[in-house]
Amino acid sequence: MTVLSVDGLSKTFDMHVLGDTQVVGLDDVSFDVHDGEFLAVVGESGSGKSSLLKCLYRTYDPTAGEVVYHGPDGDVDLATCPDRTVIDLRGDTIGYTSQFLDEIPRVPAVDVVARPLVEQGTDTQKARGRARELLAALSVPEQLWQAYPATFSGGERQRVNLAQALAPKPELLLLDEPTSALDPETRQAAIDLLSTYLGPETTVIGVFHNTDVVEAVADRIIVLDEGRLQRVVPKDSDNEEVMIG
Amino acid sequence: MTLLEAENLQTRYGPGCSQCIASTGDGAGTNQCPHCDTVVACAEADLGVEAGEVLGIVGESGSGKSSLAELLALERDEDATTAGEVRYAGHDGNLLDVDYETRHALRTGEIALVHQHIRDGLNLEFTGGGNVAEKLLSAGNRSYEDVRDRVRTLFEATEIPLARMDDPASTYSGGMQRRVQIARALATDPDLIVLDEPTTGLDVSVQARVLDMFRRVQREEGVAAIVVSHDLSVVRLLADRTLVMRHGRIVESGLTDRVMEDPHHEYTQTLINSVI
Repeated sequence: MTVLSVDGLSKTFDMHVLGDTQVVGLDDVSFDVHDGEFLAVVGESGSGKSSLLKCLYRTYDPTAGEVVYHGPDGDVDLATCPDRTVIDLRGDTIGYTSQFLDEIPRVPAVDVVARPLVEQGTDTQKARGRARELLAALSVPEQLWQAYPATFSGGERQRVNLAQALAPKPELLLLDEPTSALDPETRQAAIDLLSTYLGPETTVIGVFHNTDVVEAVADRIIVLDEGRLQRVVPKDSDNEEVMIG
Repeated sequence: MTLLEAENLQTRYGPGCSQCIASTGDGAGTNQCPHCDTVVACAEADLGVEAGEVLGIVGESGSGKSSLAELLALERDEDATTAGEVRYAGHDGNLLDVDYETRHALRTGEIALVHQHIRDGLNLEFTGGGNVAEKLLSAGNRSYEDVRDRVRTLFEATEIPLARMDDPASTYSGGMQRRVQIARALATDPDLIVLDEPTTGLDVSVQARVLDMFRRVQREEGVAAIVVSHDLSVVRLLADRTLVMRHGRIVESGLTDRVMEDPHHEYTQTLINSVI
């Protein structure tokens, strides 16, 4: 079953500060995403990977095209639906995380991770319990759980960020390079968690730089080049050449 | 559910003339009418707030954001001429036209304003607890014990030490005074809180705690909020949707992250690029 149909998605930025220059982010991108699938997006820096995720989440306003989410309450075009529909879908239906943690200052790591659960109505103590499990699974040292992430290392912050994104188990999870700052050991912990924590009810679209992550978790790979969809690579194909660092 | 809907709101200072609107705003590059010198603080403003939603209003000093917020909070400014329509769930007609009693009832009940300047919102000679109790008393609460209990609950929710409840508000730190203002605003369980520059006068570290506290209480209580700030990071932390104002007009609006990361209007792009 298809959960997301992307058709002709394009994004052009009008940069007024650069004398009204137009910058193309995405150009006529079309693909389908299947229910429960883990779709990896790869491509060189500047190929439009992050722009694609941001267009799907509506952090960017698509210039053209459709992003139809086939949800339990019917089809919604995420490219054009009202802002309030987007707000309602964010959270337990569609989750997003960038590679950089965007935390509220002076909130302990455990509460940063628990927050989306609490906002969904989970009891605070239960949410903190889940948060501690996730932080432990990602090998974040226990003495940091009550500390503020602003002082953490890049890798520690990124793990807090990933834990926060995974916590609510959204139906569609958009991950933008969630493992880019991790060393091989913690990256493996992240891979293990991605495969064990999320059930078949979560569909993931993830941008990754590391080939080992893509190989371990991806069901299919789409390759972007200069804002265009270059090709779609099915699972278990000889996909060495698509791995772009 | 739509809580508040506003259409064509306008606040001006001066006599006004037939060319005021056409001669001010984003295209004209000024909020002062060159024909009659009237300052059009805000005009042609349409907006809506859903129950439980947080709407941010950003813009530089003089962009009209506080004028717009004051209209929505039903503040009256005797020097200003206002126009437009504010419709509010559960009330008939235009809230800008209601009589004194209705306005008083709304302002002590459903709609609360947290003033930018603490002295406008609190009586610093009163105790912290007294400032909150006063709001409850003016809303018609008469039982000493009930009022006292409610004040205690609000102090806990806004993280003010209970031991300080009976000290004069003048002895409180800036962050505590801001918390008292928020506790006072929450006292009568409003549907909508208007926060005007909530971080004014606070240290950076205190700002973060106050904003985090407000965000938590806002979600717990399900109260809608309009947050006015020149500081994009304040709006980014709190608001679901954001309006950008310039020269008295709304020049851009949208999801907060969209406005911040994919700003369309030239002015918004400049504003985002100016963040240090």
